Amino acid sequence: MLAARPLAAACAGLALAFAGPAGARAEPPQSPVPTDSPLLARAAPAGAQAPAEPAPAAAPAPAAAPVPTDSPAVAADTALDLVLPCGLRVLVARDLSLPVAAVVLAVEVGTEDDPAEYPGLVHALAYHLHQGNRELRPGETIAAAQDAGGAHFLATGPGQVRFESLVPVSRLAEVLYAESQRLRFPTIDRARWDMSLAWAASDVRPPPRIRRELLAALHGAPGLVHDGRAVGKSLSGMVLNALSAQLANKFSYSRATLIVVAPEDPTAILQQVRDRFADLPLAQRSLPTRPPPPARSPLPAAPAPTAPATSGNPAAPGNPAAPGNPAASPAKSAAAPGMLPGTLLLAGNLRPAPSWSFTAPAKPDAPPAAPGNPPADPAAAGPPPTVPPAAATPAPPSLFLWPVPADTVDAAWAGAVCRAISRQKRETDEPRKARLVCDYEPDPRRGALVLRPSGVEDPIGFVRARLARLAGADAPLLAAQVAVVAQALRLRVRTPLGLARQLAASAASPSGPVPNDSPVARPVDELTGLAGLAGRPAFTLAVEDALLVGPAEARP
Amino acid sequence: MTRRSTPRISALAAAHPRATEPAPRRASSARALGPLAASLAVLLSLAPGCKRKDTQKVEIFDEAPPPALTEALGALAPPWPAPERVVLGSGLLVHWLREADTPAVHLRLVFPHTDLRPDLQGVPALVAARAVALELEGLAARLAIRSELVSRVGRHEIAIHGAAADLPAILTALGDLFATANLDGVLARARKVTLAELRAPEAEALALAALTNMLLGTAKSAELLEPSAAADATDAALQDAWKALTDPRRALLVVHAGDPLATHQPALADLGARWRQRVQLLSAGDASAEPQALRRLRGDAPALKPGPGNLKKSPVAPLVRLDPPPRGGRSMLVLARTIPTPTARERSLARLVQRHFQAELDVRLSLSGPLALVTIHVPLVAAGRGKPPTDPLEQADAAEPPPEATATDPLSQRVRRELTVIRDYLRERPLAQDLVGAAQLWLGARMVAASLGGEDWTALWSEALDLSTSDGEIAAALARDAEAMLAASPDDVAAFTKRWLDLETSDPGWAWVIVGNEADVQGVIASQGKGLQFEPPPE
Repeated sequence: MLAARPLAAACAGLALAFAGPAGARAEPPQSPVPTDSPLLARAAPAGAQAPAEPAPAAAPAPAAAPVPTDSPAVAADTALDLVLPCGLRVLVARDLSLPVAAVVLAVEVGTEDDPAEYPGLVHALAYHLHQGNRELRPGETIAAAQDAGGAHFLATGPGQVRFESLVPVSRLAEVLYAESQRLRFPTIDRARWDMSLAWAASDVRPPPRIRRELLAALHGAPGLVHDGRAVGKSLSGMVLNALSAQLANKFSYSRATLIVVAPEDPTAILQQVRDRFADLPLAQRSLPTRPPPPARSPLPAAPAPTAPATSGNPAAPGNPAAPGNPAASPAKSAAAPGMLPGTLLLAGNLRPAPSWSFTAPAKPDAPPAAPGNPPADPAAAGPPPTVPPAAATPAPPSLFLWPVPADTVDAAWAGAVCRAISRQKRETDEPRKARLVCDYEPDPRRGALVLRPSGVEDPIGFVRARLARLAGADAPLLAAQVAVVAQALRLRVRTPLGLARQLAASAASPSGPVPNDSPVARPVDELTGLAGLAGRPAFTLAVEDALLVGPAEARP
Repeated sequence: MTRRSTPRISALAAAHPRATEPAPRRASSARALGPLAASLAVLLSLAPGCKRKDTQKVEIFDEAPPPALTEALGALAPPWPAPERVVLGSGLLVHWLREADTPAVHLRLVFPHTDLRPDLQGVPALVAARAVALELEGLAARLAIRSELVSRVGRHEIAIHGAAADLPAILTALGDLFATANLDGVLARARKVTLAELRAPEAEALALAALTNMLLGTAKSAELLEPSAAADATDAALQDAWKALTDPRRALLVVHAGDPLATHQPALADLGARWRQRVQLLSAGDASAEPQALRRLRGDAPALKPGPGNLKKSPVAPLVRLDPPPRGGRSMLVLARTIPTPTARERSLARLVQRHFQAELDVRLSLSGPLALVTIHVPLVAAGRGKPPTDPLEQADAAEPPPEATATDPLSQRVRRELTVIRDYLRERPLAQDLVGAAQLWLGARMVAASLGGEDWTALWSEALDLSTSDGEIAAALARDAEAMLAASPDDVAAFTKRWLDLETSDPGWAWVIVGNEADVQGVIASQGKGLQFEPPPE
């Protein structure tokens, strides 16, 4: 789970080493793009799409892009969304409650991107990006916030790293400058790297609520298996050149989003941001490739009933309407035309494919899939990662896991559905000890929803029945939980930092076309997921899509 | 940003005569009317047909307008509009801050305790406040609220945070809470929790309690919160503390909501009807409930005039020695003085001076309107002192006392050098850049902390109360404070410091105490007892 950590404690040594003046910062000079920058010479990140045009190797600093004359009018509840020529996406929203500004630089890289031989690398690199560079002193990115009474946080997760600052609005310019420099020419030397490793090693490592192997199998991402916060010996032995290459590869503005929430006019802030990043070379936006979750194995057959028919056991023979009826083959139980028993029928329609959007794995000649669409040629996507053969497990499954797509709407719905499932009452025809517990593991990019049935002999049928109820008799319950989640979300986003974090959790690629360097006004409620809660649910649960785990897994 | 604990000066307004009187003025005058009048008053208060307005709007005619949005943002102040103020039928004063369309609601119950009987001001008042907080915590799940108890200068505050839609339910719950007849269980639980929270005071707390007693005349029991006081407080005292503390005629309710006050008028009227004073004496009438918040918090005390004590020149304030705390701990020397701050500019200057010197020294400031209390903390570290002799046969300390400390012992010398450093640093003229940095840090942290804390305007309103001397100043207090701090020049700071903080030449009004074990303090008392002694540190 992505948890932000204030950096004052973690980087105490660094903060002390920095003895910057407490006064207002002078306007920083614009530095020309050096010709020997490793950023210019780097190869395209592994798995990323090839840019349409190669970045110029020795181009002088480009002139500042002209301010578009068609900037949309910014209503009170809208945010400006655009992609700069350097590939950085920018979201700017307004919050008038207090004279503070939140700035979040969210980079689409996480611990799952650690090279196999360097577990924990991304987490350590995130700390190392506070060590300064040609323009920034060590710790200056932290001091930019703290010297004015602000706060700075670092959040690392499996799929995203966030650098967060909350500052008085009078300090916004300094923080924007610091973030515009953070990823450029980072200082690489052994002493600084060792210091970064020490900070990373001292970071909290909360025990995972879902076993990492399960999370990896769920998302089809082998990189999720290891502990991304562990600092191994291999990291301290890294060659500096390799370190530099990894930094350039994984932390670039073309795979980042800058979110600014402040009381000032978004158009004015957008201009400040443009000015800060104008000297970066042109680049296409390049998000990491995240393959869709692997296809699931067929469901195992329901167990033979052991209770007498009069017990009301839904799995008892002679109860053809009961889901998971052993009298019906799994194929027949799923054979109702166009319908799958137990599927959460919230929208009235079944989607033939999951609603998440992942880009297809790189194929040299294949055009990239547009966000939100399934891959153009799934067969060309290559073999999916190996998944534990759940269908071969003889014992009934004890865990049902679903991946939550990486956007705020699905995340909000997942939370509401989980709350509703946890509050469903036991029916009279269910076993006395039947219980279904839902856990939701929120993460902006690798969320998971887990159901743990207990006290039933046919957990699959039991879960199906409960999901079906949620679409029928328990629909009011779900609606009530949606209202609770919506209220909690409104309270969370009413502060600048809360709103900025929620915007960072929105889909990495904006929906709909975004003209290059031309801002689009989007309702904030759409980006935060609030609008999606008011409409049809985007997140569906089907037992057939779940990763089944059994026998009983002890909770970590 | 973390703040060290500031002195618990619960009676910065202690010069007010009320603090030493055994009973409130209104009640004492009412008692003179006799039992017949008392009965009549009780009957009148119960009569449903009593015709009086449930709420009365309070107009502040000299109110400084809150800054406009642009000015507020530039001054690092909240862009709040002028508040609505009403007095409910029970005498509860309500300040209503509206932020249109906010999904959250924040309420703050402000209970001043400087007006209570001296024996109720300390632990009993804290237990009573804790009881209110505990009752609200019990409602947290049902109402989806979060509550917290905060103690500030001269008052206890209970903050309640929830969703906007739940405000009517919260107001109803408050009515239920204060209409409760049976307090025994509530107060017993609160006493238990308070006992578990309180620790035996350390040297610093002992010093601060003694200093406020010396400078402001407050009772030590009001400043020093000891577990034994919580254990020894009688049930009757706790009940009295509850009734007095939660008397609506003394309390202030600050609300930060998305709706205007008129939307919740019925709920407020109901609250006013159910939350009534429990004092059985004749009330002077709800119409006489004080409509000014700051008078409720501080009374009409005139600014305290500094006493005659100096630290160096005659007459020298006596160096008071305090017994060390039971648990031991580090010894320390604490210097303190009061500073009159009748204007907003002086209050801002006092804070700026403290923030500037805090970069190098342990200087703390408590501010409450027209009066400020500054303390300078000098820890005594026994550097280079040998262990006391022990008897190897008995494995106990030797019978003979430790060698008598002289003025030349290392600790005394170290203290003299430390005081010299402090004196010289206080005399240095600050750089403008340093002052701007200190001001920006303080002002910025205030807003950032408020944002991280959920953007609760009632918390900022509470800070504004301490920066104001009249209700008309409150709305603009934070903005004016920011402007004044940023506008202060090095000359302003130097003049202020020279007048009030120079250890040798400042105006009188100092007091100082030393607390710690015998071995540490004996030498220091011998060397400093007749006035501060200085010794330049070696080059």
